[in-house]
Amino acid sequence: MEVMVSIVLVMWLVYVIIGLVFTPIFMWKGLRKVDDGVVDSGWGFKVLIFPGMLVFWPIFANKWRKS
Amino acid sequence: MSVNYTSVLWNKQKKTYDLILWSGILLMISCFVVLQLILFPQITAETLIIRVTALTAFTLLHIILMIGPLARLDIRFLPLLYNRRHLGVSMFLIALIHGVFSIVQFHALGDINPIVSVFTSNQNYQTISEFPFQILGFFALIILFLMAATSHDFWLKNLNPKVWKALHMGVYIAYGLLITHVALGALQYENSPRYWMILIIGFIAIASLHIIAGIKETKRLKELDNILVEEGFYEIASVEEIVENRAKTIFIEDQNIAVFKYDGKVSAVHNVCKHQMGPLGEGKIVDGCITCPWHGYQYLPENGQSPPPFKEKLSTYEVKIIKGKIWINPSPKPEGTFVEPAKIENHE
Repeated sequence: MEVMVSIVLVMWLVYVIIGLVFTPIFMWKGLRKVDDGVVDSGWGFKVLIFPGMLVFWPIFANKWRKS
Repeated sequence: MSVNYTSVLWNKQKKTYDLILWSGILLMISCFVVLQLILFPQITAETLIIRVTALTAFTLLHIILMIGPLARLDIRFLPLLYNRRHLGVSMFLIALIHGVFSIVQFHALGDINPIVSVFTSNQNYQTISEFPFQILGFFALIILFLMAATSHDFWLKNLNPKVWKALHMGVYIAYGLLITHVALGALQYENSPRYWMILIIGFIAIASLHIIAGIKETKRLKELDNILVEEGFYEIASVEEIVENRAKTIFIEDQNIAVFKYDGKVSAVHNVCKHQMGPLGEGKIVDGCITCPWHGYQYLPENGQSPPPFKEKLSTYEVKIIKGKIWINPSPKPEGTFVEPAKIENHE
């Protein structure tokens, strides 16, 4: 049980770390391409969406690739 | 609305809402702290924080779940719906404090990773009194996190409304997990039945309100059986039935329609707000615009368009008034189409 939980935890950590690397780059270069509503949005907005980006980053990576 | 995102689109109502919300939360926390100190004078600071945050977050969750059906049963509760997401995020932050302190207090002192310890320190799944209730709370917290993290309009647009709505219906799963978390956890150490009573009363209150609101909605739908139809138009109400600047809502041919009476005229639009699928028919006309009761999104009643520079558009429907009766054609016009409002005769 301990080994299994540890493996899942490591996989989850890797997923979040990829999100941590992806999100700032995406916010800098890609966010405007996938949603024109972010034009002129401030840092407060980016801070608010940051936690969700760590979970849903694959969706945005796909959107960015297609844009 | 949705031209450009901001962190929080503050207005006077939201500021008032948040002021009342956080005053209430601080009052609730104070009451729970005093109560714990009276009942358990030897309590440690860590345990006090764990208990008070649990009580506060769980109480807030009950309030959140009651607001929806209450607002459907009585429009006086509608202001509570406004900005409900701030209530949800506040509840999550308090629940997070409970989760973090609990993990640190009970799982961080050994040589196993604290998160791993949550799942492995107790594996008595066969017994009720020693069930590893922490896992239930852990998963509930994950659901609440996902909801809080995706509460901004940005997520509604980018996850798409159906996925977003489904994700946020997860609050009922979280509630189920938390009821079990409390019942198999804290209540197993209590001899007094009063805590069980409080838990059960809370559950019954939420379930009853949802059932009563559902029954009311079903009755409303059954009224359609007696409706008159002529040349594609359905007689839905008399002009007097609708209060000035308010609406009557109706389902005809799978169309959810809100019929608004305002300024000597009657117009009909699709009853679902483009923002978070709020019930527009439960809102009212403010400054000439239909205003969603949930977050204040606005639409012009004649063409279903949000006033410039906003871009949301609703479907519109043909309306006519014959001898004081309102008739609706439920074939939707393309979103944003102007439809001549029906004029009310003898309107002063």
